[in-house]
Amino acid sequence: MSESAAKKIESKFSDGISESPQSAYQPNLRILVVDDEPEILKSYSDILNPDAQDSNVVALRSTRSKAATKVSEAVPVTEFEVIAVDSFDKAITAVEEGVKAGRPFSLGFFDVMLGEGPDGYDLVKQIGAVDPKMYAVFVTAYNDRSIDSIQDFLGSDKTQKWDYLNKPFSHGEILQKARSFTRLYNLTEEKLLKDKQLEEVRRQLLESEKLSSVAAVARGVSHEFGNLLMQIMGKADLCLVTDNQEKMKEGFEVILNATQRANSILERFKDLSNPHAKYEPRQNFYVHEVIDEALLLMEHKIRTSELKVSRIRTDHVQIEGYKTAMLQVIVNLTLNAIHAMGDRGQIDFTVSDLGLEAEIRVRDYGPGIKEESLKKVLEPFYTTKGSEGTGLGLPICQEIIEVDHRGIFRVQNHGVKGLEVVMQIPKVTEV
Amino acid sequence: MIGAVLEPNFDLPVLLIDDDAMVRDVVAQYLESFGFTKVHQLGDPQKALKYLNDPLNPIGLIISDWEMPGVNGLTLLKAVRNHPVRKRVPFVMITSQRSMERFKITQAAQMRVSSYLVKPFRAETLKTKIWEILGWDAIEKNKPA
Repeated sequence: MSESAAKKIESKFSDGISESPQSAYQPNLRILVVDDEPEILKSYSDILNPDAQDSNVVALRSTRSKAATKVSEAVPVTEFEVIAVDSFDKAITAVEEGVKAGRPFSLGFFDVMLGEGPDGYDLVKQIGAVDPKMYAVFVTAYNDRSIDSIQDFLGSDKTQKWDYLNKPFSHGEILQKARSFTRLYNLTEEKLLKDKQLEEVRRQLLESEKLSSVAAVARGVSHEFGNLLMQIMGKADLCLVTDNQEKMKEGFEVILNATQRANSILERFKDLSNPHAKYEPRQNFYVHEVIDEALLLMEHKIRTSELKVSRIRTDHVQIEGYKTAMLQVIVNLTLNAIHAMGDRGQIDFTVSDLGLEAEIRVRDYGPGIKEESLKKVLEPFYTTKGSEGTGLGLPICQEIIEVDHRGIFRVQNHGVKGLEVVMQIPKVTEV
Repeated sequence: MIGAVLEPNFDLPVLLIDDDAMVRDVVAQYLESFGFTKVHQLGDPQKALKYLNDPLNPIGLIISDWEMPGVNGLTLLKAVRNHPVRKRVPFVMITSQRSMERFKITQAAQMRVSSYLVKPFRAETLKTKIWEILGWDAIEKNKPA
């Protein structure tokens, strides 16, 4: 492989790592308030951002409304970031700038009557085109429009994106709407992020499966190749010094056969593109941290299925190697376990300090594997998942454990129930 | 070179172990071309293990492949180093797995392998290694140019 090609692979991987799957979700608590009356805007800020204000009594009186409500609730307030604007145009600008800066709003409170020109409904419709994720609460003193007509206006696909409040509103109403909509927004976004991160790890896994499969296959045939090259080099070397015609002829025949055999082996490599490139530096790390990260990544998958994850034992043991590769091993083994149990059951993780080695056990409570098939699970291209599996998962895990981490990788049926993967990796010895 | 330089002794019995008949044949012919007269070839590492464990068999040099089914080269090397009679017999290891090379060299070095060769190698390379480990006078090399 050329140097530039190697660099390309490396940078591809480091790119993949920079959008690290481990980044935590930052909740979005930005709220936009739109009202043409400065007093009302101030009331919103008092409710949602009360720190500097007297939050206890918020009498919200619309000048258009004769009614007023007095509320005195001492509720701890989430720290919302409130941006208050008094016109249609400023609202649009604020939303656009927020999206551009990567700091969108999760929710907006919209006064319906915004003086002359387009009203709050128009505003929300237009905002929907800029930032479809944002939630909206209409706040009006007039029942000028029925709920149905608003729905018709905004479109039925937006139904879950908006709500409705009458002026005068109470402290509690605003606070509760703000809380529940930002929570809804953040739960949705967090799930999307987690899914994206899991997808990224899967993609990396697949990528490294493709790359490692080359390593695995290459290791398998390198012996074969070494022997063929030995025949070719050896016979040529011997032909060079012999005067015996018969011996020379025999030598050339061996050389020809060997080249043909080598060529037929190469045919098998056609669709396997690049050799495995190491894409992260070796480092010392704790085994249990990798399991923590893997479980964090699969949190959603685990939460949405009937799975119980049990940490039987968690010794703090350091090993040396490739953390991302280890993460992929754990993710892969966990997904295998989930697959084996059909989305319900229990997975046990055990990390033990064996003195010289760290031992990791991943055990499921599925049906296990028949003894005669057990031998085959580590063979490349063997799969129980039909078209879903590449049959490379376990061989690559084995490759990562045994070659990259000088460890032992074993797959066995658990004495009681289920399948157990046992990995033993040399510990980092403290100096 | 350290120590006394010896005249080559081509009657030295050589044990050659490789499960690949073609490769074994090439190495045997290399040895023959060097002048060795007593090369015992074995293709089955299990038989090789038995052969070298029997103290009656004459062995002055062992050349073995690493990657063999069942009993590999390292097992044979360990058996030799733990054998009361054989433990000083020079052992040349041949391998083809480059991906594991460093790891294997370390392992082999721990068992005091005499020399380590990665396939493919030319006759001259093997000859130099053998002459070196046996402390033989490298006649050709010492000739004035």
